[in-house]
Amino acid sequence: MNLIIDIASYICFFIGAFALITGSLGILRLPDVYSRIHAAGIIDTAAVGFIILGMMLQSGFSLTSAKLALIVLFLFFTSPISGHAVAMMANKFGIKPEAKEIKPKNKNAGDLNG
Amino acid sequence: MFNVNLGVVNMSHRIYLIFSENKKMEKKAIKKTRNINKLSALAYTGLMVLLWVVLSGHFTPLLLSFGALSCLFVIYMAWRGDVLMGDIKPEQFFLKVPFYWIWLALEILKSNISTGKAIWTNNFEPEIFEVKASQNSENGLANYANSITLTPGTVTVLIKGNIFLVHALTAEMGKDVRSGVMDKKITKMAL
Repeated sequence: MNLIIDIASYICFFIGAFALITGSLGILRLPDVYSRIHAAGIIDTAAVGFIILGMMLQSGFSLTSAKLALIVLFLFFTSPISGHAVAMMANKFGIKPEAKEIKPKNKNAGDLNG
Repeated sequence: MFNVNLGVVNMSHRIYLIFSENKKMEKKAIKKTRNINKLSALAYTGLMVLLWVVLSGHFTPLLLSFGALSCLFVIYMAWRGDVLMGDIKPEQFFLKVPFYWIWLALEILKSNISTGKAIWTNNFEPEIFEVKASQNSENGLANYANSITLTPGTVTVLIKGNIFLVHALTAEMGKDVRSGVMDKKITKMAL
């Protein structure tokens, strides 16, 4: 039983480490600020989530696990705010995204650039 | 010199008196309008107690009484800050929010895989578009914007009223956001 839990937690650590590498590669490879936020999002969600899941498997059903779960919860509440702040400021200072612009079908949707 | 100073002191004292009377009137007026929603107060207390128990982990009578005191103080501050009026619904944390979190976790896992694939295969075509949010409350709007940003591959760039400017990494993810599944789920939660 112990061995199974150990193996499961090692797999979680490996997935988390792989997500970290993926996110770092994305930050280097993607073309502009807005796209790089997505890569940072992988690190914020998958990497942190899987590494802490592995830690929770190691510590078993205890108060420590609950605290680790709280860390994930608060991080999931706060990390999108930082990502949004970066994107919003980039937009405010006029950095144009290298992206295809898709117009809304109904004209009532308004115009955000005005 | 001395007299002038005295005059100033007297004046300020009088002003202070008038000010404090106004404050009292204001407080009475506020107390009349500040009504408390019992269900949300109960849920808020429950959340605070849960958080204290998880973070503390000690169960001696002394520490439990400290915990009760600090919980009560937080509830008092929430009441003064008009959090318990019923606009914000903490009771949803026990009813609908956990199910939404499970769904959101699966969604995050899916979009993580597709974003990772897009990064490793170098195959992405970013797009930027506007979506309309159907939530009524500010809390619901914040929740929707945060959920969009939390799923990798989509970021809320700008919020104006209930229209979001969203940046997506691939066309697939843009389609997912525009289909409005997440929007409907959050509106149903009625945060």
